Amino acid sequence: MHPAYQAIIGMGAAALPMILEDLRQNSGHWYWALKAISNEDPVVPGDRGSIKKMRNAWLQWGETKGLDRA
Amino acid sequence: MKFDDLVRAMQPKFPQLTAANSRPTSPYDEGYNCIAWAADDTDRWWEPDPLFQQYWPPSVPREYTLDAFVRAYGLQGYIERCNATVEMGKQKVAIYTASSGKPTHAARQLPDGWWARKLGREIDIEHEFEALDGPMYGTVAVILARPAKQHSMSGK
Repeated sequence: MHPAYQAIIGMGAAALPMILEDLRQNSGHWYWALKAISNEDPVVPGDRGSIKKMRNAWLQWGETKGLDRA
Repeated sequence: MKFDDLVRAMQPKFPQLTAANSRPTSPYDEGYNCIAWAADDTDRWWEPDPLFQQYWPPSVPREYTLDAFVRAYGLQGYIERCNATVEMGKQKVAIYTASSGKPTHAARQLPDGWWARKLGREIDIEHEFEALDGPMYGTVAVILARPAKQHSMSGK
């Protein structure tokens, strides 16, 4: 894992709004970080690897948690 | 960016790559990676990540080992170990590993003998077998074959 990616995970929950915003705008592969930080997983098993569905699940999770306001 | 320019930009990573030994097939698609593409799956990202975020065949150990990757492709019918020679009636995939033994990449042979691969986040290309050898992806650790299905020349 790239050191910068690890550093972002190390920021903890404070990084979540920024990560979700990047996921919304750039579709970055933030799924490991989101799960590692939140210890939650809104992606249903059947959608593993389906990037658009994973992205939508995490963005919806962020809205539910009130984290979509960076 | 023109393909020739892209090739030039990638030559530091792939010194043997030229516009003569490769050709573009499709633009970057974030929906799948090289491992999935070699397995003919353009709907999912295949990766044995320990956090269970990406797709990995459920019966295969979720680990970055050559054995796990061989087993994953085995479920797609790629069972016979072979070489890179074109063989009528056979479709082949090549699994690359780093010097550590960790799988890094996969490519699929096309009926014309070129190899199709998704090239990182850049583009999908087809190329001659040795065109991308080098430090970026390591070396081919194993080539596996299965009976050929009806298959387009584009690799899709």
